[in-house]
Amino acid sequence: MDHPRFSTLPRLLQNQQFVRFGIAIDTAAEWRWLALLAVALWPTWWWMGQRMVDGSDDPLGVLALAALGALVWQHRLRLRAAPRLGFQVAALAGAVLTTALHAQLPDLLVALVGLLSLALGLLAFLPAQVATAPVLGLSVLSLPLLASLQFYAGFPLRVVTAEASRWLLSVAHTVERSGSSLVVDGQLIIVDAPCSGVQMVWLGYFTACVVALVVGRTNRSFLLRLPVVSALVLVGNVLRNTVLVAFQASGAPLPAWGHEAVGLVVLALVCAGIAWAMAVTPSTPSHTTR
Amino acid sequence: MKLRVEGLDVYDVEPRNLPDLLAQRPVIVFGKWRGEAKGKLILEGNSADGPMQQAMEISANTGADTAALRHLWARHRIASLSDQESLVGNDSYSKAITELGLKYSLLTQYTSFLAVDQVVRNLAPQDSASVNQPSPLPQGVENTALGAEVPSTPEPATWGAIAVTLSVLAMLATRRRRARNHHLTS
Repeated sequence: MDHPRFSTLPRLLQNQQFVRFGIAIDTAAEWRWLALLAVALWPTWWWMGQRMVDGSDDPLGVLALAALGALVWQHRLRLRAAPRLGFQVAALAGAVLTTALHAQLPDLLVALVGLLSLALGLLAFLPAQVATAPVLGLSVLSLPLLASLQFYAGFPLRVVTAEASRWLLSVAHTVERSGSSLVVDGQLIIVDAPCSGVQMVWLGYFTACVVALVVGRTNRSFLLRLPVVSALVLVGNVLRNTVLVAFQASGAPLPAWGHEAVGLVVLALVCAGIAWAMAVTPSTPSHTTR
Repeated sequence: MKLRVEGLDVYDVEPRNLPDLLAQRPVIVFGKWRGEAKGKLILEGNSADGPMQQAMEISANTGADTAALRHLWARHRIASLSDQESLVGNDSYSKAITELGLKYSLLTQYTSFLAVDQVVRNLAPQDSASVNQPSPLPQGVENTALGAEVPSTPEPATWGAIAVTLSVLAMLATRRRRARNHHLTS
């Protein structure tokens, strides 16, 4: 006698409506899946929108979301007819988990789960040549991260920046560091929160993810280059800070537009360096490391 | 010393126990009564010359203008309760103190005053004249004591940073496109 569990499936397969439902699920257009996934995450979008509108975080996350959108658009003609089941199941489980965790965990963690599930949903339909790590990276960067990064990583970054600047400036000036402040030739110059370089960190990793996707980096190749990104950002922020402090200490402080110009030039150099580091060797797409 | 009241129903007498009376000092007692104001206050004690007694008749005409006494009684009561609360070391008397403060409009450790000025004196602040008021610092005090602005090295504005990053990425894309075209045509 057959076990009831095994005898149910043939009986179901004889049901035409069930079979039609299965076919409909299997052949559903990819945009439907993605749209349903996006709709299921509406509390996350609502929260992210509020964070952006009320000014509690910078709107940089929109840039990462736009990059994900552009990625899907770029591959729109090569999207998989049938999704990769592993990614698809993980994405749906992530969406369910996001809903279950809503109001149970901090909103940022819930949104992290939600955006990772969205990224997995995208990866389920994207061609296998698209590496997963940069896509997941962009989904993490979509979060309203900057304020939290500033809170947790801001002070260590400021101290490291101030100490490196002290070391560089000591060639020509008498410099002391106290916490994240510098006393240069008796003049107090603070390395406060807006000087921490957190914004440059975000833009640096964003550049890295985008360039990695454009040049077709593999996961391994992308991850191995990430330390270079961190180093370039840190060096860039130290350089920016040192130049500005040097002008201040020399008795010819730069006007506000001069601060902006120095910051933008250094940022451009850092982004160019990161782009070069990510694209320096011709990519050789591999199917084994996705 | 002891205070005895005859012919009058008194309650909430403060202080509950009279302290020793020193020379040239008054005896101050607060309390409430019910019914008609009549009777006698009798103060008894022992002096250096032996037992003494002093009596004071109460009549309806005694102290007609005594509105302030209500607040004096409440203040004394609050002080006693506060002392007791400090002695016990918890806030077990906070409710009683708060009720007295609210009922008699008195400042206590649990009640405070909120003054709301209903009259707007300066109807157009923006039209006010600005005046540079000299404020010389004491000798030896530097300008930094005033919290003057300290220079810092902030990052560039977000929108400018986004524009620069996107420009770098656009340049990269352009270079790649040119390189690909060159590769195809060569």
